[in-house]
Amino acid sequence: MTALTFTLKAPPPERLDLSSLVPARLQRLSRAEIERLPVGTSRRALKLADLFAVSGADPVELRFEGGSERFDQVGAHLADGRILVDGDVGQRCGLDMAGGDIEVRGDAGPFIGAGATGGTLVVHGNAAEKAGGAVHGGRYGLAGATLVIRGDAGPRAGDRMRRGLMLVGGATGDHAGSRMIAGTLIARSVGAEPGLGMRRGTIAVGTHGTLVPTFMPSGAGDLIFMRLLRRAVGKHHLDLAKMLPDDPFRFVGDQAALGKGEILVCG
Amino acid sequence: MLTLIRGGRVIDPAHGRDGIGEVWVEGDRIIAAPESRTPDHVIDATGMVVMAGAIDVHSHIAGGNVILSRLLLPELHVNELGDPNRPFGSACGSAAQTGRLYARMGYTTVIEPALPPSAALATHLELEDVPFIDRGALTVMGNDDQLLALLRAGESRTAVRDLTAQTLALSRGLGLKVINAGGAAAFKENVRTFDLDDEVPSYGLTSRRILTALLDAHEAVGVPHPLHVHCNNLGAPGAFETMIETMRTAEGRPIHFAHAQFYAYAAHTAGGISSAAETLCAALAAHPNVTLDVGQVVFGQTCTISLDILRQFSARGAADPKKWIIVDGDAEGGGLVPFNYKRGSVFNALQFMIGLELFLLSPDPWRVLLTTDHPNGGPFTAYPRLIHLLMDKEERTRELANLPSKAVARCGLSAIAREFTLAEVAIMTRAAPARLLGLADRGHLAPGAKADIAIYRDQADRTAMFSIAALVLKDGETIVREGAVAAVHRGRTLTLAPQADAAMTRRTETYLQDRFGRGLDSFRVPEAAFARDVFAPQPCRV
Amino acid sequence: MEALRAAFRLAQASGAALDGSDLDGAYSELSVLAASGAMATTPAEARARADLLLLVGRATDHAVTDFTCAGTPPRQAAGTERRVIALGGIRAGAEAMPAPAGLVPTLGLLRAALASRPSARPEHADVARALKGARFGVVLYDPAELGEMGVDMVLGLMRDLNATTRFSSCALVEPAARLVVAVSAWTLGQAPRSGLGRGVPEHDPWRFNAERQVCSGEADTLVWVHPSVPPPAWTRSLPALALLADPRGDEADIVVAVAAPGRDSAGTLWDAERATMTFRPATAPRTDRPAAAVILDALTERVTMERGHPC
Repeated sequence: MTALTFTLKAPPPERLDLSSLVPARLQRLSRAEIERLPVGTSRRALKLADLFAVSGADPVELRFEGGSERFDQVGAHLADGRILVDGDVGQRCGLDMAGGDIEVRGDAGPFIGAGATGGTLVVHGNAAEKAGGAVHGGRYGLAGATLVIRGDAGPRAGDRMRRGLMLVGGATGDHAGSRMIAGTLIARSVGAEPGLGMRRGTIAVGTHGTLVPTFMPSGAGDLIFMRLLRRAVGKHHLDLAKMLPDDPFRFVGDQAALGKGEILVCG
Repeated sequence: MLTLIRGGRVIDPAHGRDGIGEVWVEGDRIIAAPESRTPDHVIDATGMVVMAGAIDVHSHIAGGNVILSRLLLPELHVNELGDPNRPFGSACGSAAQTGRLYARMGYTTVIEPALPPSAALATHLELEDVPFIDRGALTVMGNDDQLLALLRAGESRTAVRDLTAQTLALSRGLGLKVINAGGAAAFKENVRTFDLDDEVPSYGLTSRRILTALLDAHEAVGVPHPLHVHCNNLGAPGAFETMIETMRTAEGRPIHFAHAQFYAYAAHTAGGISSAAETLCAALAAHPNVTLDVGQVVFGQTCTISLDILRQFSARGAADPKKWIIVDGDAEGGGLVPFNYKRGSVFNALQFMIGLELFLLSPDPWRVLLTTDHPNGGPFTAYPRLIHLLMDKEERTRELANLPSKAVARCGLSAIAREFTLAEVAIMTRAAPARLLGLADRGHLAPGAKADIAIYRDQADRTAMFSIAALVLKDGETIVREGAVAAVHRGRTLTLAPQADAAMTRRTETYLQDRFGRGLDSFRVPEAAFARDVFAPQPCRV
Repeated sequence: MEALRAAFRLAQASGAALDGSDLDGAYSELSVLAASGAMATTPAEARARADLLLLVGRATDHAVTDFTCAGTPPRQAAGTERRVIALGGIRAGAEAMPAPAGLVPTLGLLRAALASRPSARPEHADVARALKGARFGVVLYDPAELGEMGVDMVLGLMRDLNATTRFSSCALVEPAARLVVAVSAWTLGQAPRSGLGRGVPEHDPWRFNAERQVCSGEADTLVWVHPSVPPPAWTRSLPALALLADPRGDEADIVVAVAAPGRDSAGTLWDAERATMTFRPATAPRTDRPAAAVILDALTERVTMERGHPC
């Protein structure tokens, strides 16, 4: 069976809520029912077929031909299966997802991977603010899933991250890993004040902006952890894996909060 | 318009009525069966039960803390995409939804039990936006500096009475409430536990002293609803002793205990709690001046909302999800601690069972009222299920089978065979709350009463029966039909209007100017602030 | 109050999104509130009780701070002098505490000092002792200045301090923002950045940020309701109606002069010192200006009528 494919007919006239397009939901629906799914967010009440041509049949593998920064909640609550977007996505991609794979071949809006407990998210382009960060009222940012951003990420990447692995091939904005509860965030470079308010967890970086004074240098050391980390990262991003040395320079913090987190500088 | 409801089983315990009969309505009132007049409209209630509209004496439906609970937990108020044709009525957690959910269960009057005098206008504006039902609010005193300073100075009972009357009138309360008397004031001085005979340090006043002064003032003002008391030590093992001692303190004066379930805990020898419901009910039997509402626990997620900031602060560790708010307000303030009552928890299961035990061991259904202390024990929408459990022993047995056996063993509930009758349900939810609030025009179906009427399809599944009323009349107008809104109705807010003393008014003006940089005008709840004629003043006792 | 209620009715009828005119500060606070809660107090309680006031940044010269700093705290033992510390600012009668690392990192250093962590700075030892030793301390801050992370730091400091003493905080938020948040909470069950496009309220502070919606082209019409603040420049890119108390006339495509509540007409407003709503009679009553609510309700009626017909 070929992937169930949604081909965008024209740029969407409003933000879309695509959260209903997940295998668990689509498997139970006929083609006609799928085409009638509401995806609009205004009183126009747009249906799927108003925007997309539907082809293919396999509801476990979904494909969006064409994307838009107005594609919100792509793969939200995904449990299994695969979603590929040949284009951009909007906010909350993979929100609270528990499993499966999402691949975005363009850029991603804010809050990608918020609350995601399992599965893998890959963004070929850049991600906006709070990638792997918590939404308003959400308990956690990334919470066990793997999030790979090949380009850059906006400010507050990994905010309130709880578990899992987040990789940024390029640079993040300021306050990466703010209020991290646990988990691992690795980026080629981060902006100012990374790890602000972090309780536990690891941030590994090539270079970084200003550190807040509540991170304390604790020297370089040979960490066996680094070898395990390199192996785990290598499965998703070879360049970042190569960046990780055996003996990074370690800062401990944020001592404004619990202070059991670390920033590993891999320069 | 003349309406006849006929063929239904009319249950009106206030007048000893229980049988197939007629109820006549003209305009907004129930009238005696007219001679030789033909009704304009006949409601066939065959197979149905006809009761007065239900009344809730204690439900947190408005005010600054309810607002904060929505802001603290936006994730609990996410809307299913539902009926877009009801302005805000399907918006989860909105005032409009509160009114609609009450109305569909046949509730027509609800009392907000925590009206802080310094934020009275805001609370009343929010209450105005709760549709369908009549509302009232209880003015909170007992931690405010003006009262405590007056007591510290040893001023006369008359002065305390005048201040109480002044505060009630200014805030437009329907009754007087005291919440852990002195507890919030003490907490602001870093006191972390506070019992009846503990002192608020800088005032040198015990909780008992404050409570006694308010009992006196309450009686002198002639507030129809007994002093509504939230005791010290809420939730603590052994708290039942505090409540019984507070009963003694009343010395025969009318007193109402809020959410008694949260006090009916004895310390168990093996740690944790066991039920003290039997002891509490024996004390209730011995004190005919005492009434209480239960504050039944319901399993599931909720947010506890209380002005007892000392207690809420100490409960912050139990917050689920892990976030909480403590506001040190002008007097009490507020504490919000989200909580998830779990069936698998011995403590939560005991709380659930102890509540039911209180109902079932109650010596008098006129004195033990149905509440969940919404949303503290759980949402008011659980009332139909709770009525079902009280009316059906087998249903209780099924429920208990899912609870931890250790909890079941620490509570007498499983051995209780009592089943509530429909008449007892009508007492507990209609006749008794109306009498307790001093509202003679409701809670019954005699001529002259407000035509607030709930009609239910009589069915063995009491949960279904009471969840969705077949028909609800408010002020004679059909507002709910088969659980759905038939007409949007704007209820009134019930208040007292005690006479304020001119000298106390002047003193208060000076006090407020000094403390807030604002005078009485800033604190008023003027009719001009409301979009419509909203207040319905009730008389004080003479 | 009436204008807000009417604006919510219009939004419901037209499927519009709502936002406050200046909610960035309020949302810095709301976002932390929804993440980890808060400890807060009122200006009146700070004035009556606080033996220690920590004024952060712009709070140093905020009008409400004048109210809280006045006199000695009457609820403390006789003779208690109030200690006022101005963090990152200067104020007459207050001790200046410099914040060379920035306000938020310095608050972080104070938290580290309170917990005796290695990054604590010796120059903060005295203030840390004072914070711990306060009987009832209050931090006053402007959430618009500190941002979400700064608010998080202030409230974390509150949780740290209240383990042993009493401390609370007071966020200095625009009164109009406080009012709209309260009315929104009871009307929608949610804070104001909500959309009604799908009939029921959806709260999403990112999606329904009005400036973002306008700049991204998602919004096609704007209704601006504020007695005293003209619409900002970003509103000029789309058709707009502005209801203003003292308009020049060129603030939007259509401008209607409406009554200013508390001046031209009576109305319920937010009182920043009292931290609640208050009813203000008109100071200079005039009847030639319609209430904003009247205009908005007329629009609602028209929208409802037109939506009744299929288009």
